[in-house]
Amino acid sequence: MPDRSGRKKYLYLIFVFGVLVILHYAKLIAPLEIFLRSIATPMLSSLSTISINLGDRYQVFKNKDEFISSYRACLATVARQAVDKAAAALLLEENNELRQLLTFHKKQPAPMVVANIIGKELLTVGQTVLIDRGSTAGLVADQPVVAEEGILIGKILKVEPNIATVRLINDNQSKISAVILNNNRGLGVVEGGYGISLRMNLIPRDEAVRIGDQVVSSGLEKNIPRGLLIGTVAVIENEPYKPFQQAILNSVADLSKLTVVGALLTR
Amino acid sequence: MRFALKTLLLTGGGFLIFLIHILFIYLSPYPINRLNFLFIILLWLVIYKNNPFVLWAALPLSFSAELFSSLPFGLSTAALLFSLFMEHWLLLNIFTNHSWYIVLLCGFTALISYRILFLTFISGAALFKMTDYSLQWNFFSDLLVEGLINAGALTSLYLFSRLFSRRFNPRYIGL
Repeated sequence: MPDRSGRKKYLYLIFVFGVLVILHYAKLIAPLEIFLRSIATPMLSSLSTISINLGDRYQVFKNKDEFISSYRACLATVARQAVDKAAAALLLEENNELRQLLTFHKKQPAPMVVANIIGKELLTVGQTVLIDRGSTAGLVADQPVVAEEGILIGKILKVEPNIATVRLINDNQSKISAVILNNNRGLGVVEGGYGISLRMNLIPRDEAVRIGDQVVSSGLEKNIPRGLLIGTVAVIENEPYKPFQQAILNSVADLSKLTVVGALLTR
Repeated sequence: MRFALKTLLLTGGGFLIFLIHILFIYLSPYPINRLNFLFIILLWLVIYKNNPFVLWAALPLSFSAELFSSLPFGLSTAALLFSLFMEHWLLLNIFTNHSWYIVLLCGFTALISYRILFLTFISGAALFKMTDYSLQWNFFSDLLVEGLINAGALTSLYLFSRLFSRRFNPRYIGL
């Protein structure tokens, strides 16, 4: 055992730590914390940008034939998308007319707060990012965070006055109620998989799920509106001995290269 | 004057350690980004100096990291402090031979105890609805990777520092 003076030093340290924790929860050191965060945030932000640039991956082709076939596949996709876009425009028009006929009111979208990603969390091993907006901008926990035009990337986990932590959808602790845009509109839960993939669980076995089907938020979860795009089905696992089937999803947004996001003020 | 210089040096050193910790997390690929530089440096100080005073350095360093964390405040620092206390006790009473394999074992046990304490505290916090953490199976595989990476880094740092301390220590210089 350490000598008495050594033990005393442990006790002093525990006492100071206890005082620090009490001061934090009593919000007595909040100005100091805000000041320290404001000093460190530009540094974190710069390092985050460097990190994104370093992680930039280029597509590598083994030979000329592979490059040409990839190029042709891209052209085919673009052509197919042009046709889909035209069909979607027609459907939108038709939908609006039908809504007017049924005197549906257009649902007002939730206001959005745009925020910059300033870095990753420094302590946990989970997939979380820090954004430069907090409770002063109206952010509260569990609000959805989107990228680009409504791609769900995560939920607000913790809010401080001028900073917030977002748990990304590929985090192991993330669970989001979702629906597959197939004929049956199959429900399930999208969970993160080790920070590298998305897995949709609890899909009923009789659902006809196809590769490429889009998965969106179901709207059944509090604060998360229906229809936010989560990903597309990449692999389907339908084992005969399991009560549910699973699907591995490709995220639409590259979660490692996010720079600007929007938090939907749904609460 | 001397006190001011010492304070400045300690603050600068702390800032540098914090910066390197961030650099490892942000810029290095997996599994190197699992290297907990703050923890490694503190553990190295405990092994090298063998003085409980160095444990005080854990407080400002861990506090800085807690400012950018989604975990309930104090959880990580508490786990860090208790694992360092335990390691200090082990070094004084059991791992008294400071050879490289003991340092490797120290690094591994310290990291494992840190993570287990962390898991205990966060589970306690989840009981009181302070966080929504739930244990996943990959926690254990991550723990193993983290333990190996950090123990390896600590041993390398220890051997490197010992090389210099022996070379420049007057006790080892023949007259």
